[in-house]
Amino acid sequence: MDLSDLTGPCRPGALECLAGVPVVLQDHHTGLLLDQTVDDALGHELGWELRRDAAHAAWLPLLARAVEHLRAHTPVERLIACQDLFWATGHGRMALDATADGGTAEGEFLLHGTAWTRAYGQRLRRHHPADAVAAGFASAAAQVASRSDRTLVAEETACVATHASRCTFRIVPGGVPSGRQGLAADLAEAEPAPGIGNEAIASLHADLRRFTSGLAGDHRGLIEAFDVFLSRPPTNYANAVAHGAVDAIRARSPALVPVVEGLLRECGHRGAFHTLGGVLRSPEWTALVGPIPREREAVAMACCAIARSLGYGAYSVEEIGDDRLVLVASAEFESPWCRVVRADRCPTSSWFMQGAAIALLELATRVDWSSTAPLTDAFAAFAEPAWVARQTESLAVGDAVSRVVVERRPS
Amino acid sequence: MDWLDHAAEQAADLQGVVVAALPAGSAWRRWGRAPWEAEALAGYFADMVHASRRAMRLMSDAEGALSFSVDLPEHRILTRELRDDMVAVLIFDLAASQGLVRLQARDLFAAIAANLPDRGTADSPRAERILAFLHRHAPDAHLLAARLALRTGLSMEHLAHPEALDAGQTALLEDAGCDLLGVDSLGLGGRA
Repeated sequence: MDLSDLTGPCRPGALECLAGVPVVLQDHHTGLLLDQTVDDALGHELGWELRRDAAHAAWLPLLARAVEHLRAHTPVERLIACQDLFWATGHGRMALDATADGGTAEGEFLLHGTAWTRAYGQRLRRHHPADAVAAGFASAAAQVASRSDRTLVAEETACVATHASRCTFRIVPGGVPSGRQGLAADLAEAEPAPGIGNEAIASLHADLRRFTSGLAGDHRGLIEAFDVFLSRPPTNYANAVAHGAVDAIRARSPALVPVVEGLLRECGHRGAFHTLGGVLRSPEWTALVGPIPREREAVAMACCAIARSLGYGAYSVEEIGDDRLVLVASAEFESPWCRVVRADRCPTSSWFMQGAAIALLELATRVDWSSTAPLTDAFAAFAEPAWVARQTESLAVGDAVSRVVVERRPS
Repeated sequence: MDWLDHAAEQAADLQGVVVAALPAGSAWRRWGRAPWEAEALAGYFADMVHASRRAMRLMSDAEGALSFSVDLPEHRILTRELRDDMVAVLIFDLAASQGLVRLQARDLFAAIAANLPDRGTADSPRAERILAFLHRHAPDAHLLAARLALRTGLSMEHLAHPEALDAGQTALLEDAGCDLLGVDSLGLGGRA
């Protein structure tokens, strides 16, 4: 499946959309750490339910629009279109056999199970399934294919991350109807905020978009590029589970809210560091742009262009020094959901952007780009929290931009 | 200068000593010319003892104290189980003569054996041992405290002072640690 007909900048707004639904090219580091944080906050059972239901709710509008766009008229055509979309977006391969009454699904190379097994399989034993995103997808796809108002829910009955030979799902009636999502139509019109080298960033972004919009799953349904597994999930999956984790901790142990927020920030830090850095170090970057720039401002601009092409948001660097960075975004993928779905709003909850800002400062000022050592090694040097990221403005509460200030942590 | 300082100063090629309590692998005594993390070293060497014992059981029914040496690029490590609950690790300069190392090690092992604590008194508090164990075996050690805080409801300040945790809090910590690693037990022994 060629995704380029379905992908494009969201209009209005400046995010990446798939069938009119905001998506982000997300790396497996972010996905694994996010899932882990949700389970740490809620426990495995409630964590699984939150992740599965958030995935169902996030996939449902995307699949409904996509099958219309792809002119899939019959239930079987719609099922096949959904399966194709699943592998094209880098989530692995899934075979669906379901109707409005439910059914089954089988998965191969499912992203979360595969990534978890590769990252931790030699060190940890897992007793619970890993593929909540795939489960939510399966039930949403069955619902869209059957054009039923009846809500479906899926359970993963076997998972390779728990040493099963394959992943299987059972889809049954049940679950909760999805609420509002905060989709493209909810985005404000957004021109990039003033920042260093915005014209150059825009030009780079245009070149990079042509490349990233063509990224699609390989024969396994995985996008293995830049030393990470990339996927293109609807952004509202991450938004819903991140807020769900914070809500759970706020209800149980309010004093620990900064702790869970710190872990969510770390998702952005780790993910953006590896993905932006991986793109910069890639042959594709060299072919498209040339050698990695040496000046910190130029690295920061390059990172902003890459971030925009991945769908992180319309990032611009307002200020950068050796120990300080101000990152602004006239659009970023965390705020639309927050503005629409949260009655209490969320002034400082662009956690991914906060972490990405830290990564950007490290990539621009601390990484030795002449070294060929894996980026994972370079990242290890930044494991201890050396920075404080403060969000001073947020699109979610009506500010003109989201603004994050990163400074050295006082010793 | 205590007995260990005194014994170690006599061994010219010696770089470090760690005496660890088993099975937890917590450091009971340490001495070193370099600022090594004795607690982490104690844990890793205790893991080697456990692994060697498992290997030994696969090969024979013989019982007895373990003793082995490992050569690293710059160091020669001599490890000896002095009692079933205590192991001593001597770290020598790899360039030192083998004969001299053997002589120095014999004296040092003897000195340590003569000064071992009474059984059951060498271990650090259980919560401290649990955290040290998890730091060695859980992924992303720098995120460990935050993850445990979410799982247990204990504050970061509490987790920074594990020696002050009570029995209930320690049990919560141990359960969370088992869950992180996906095991039924951390194998530290002595759990009620």
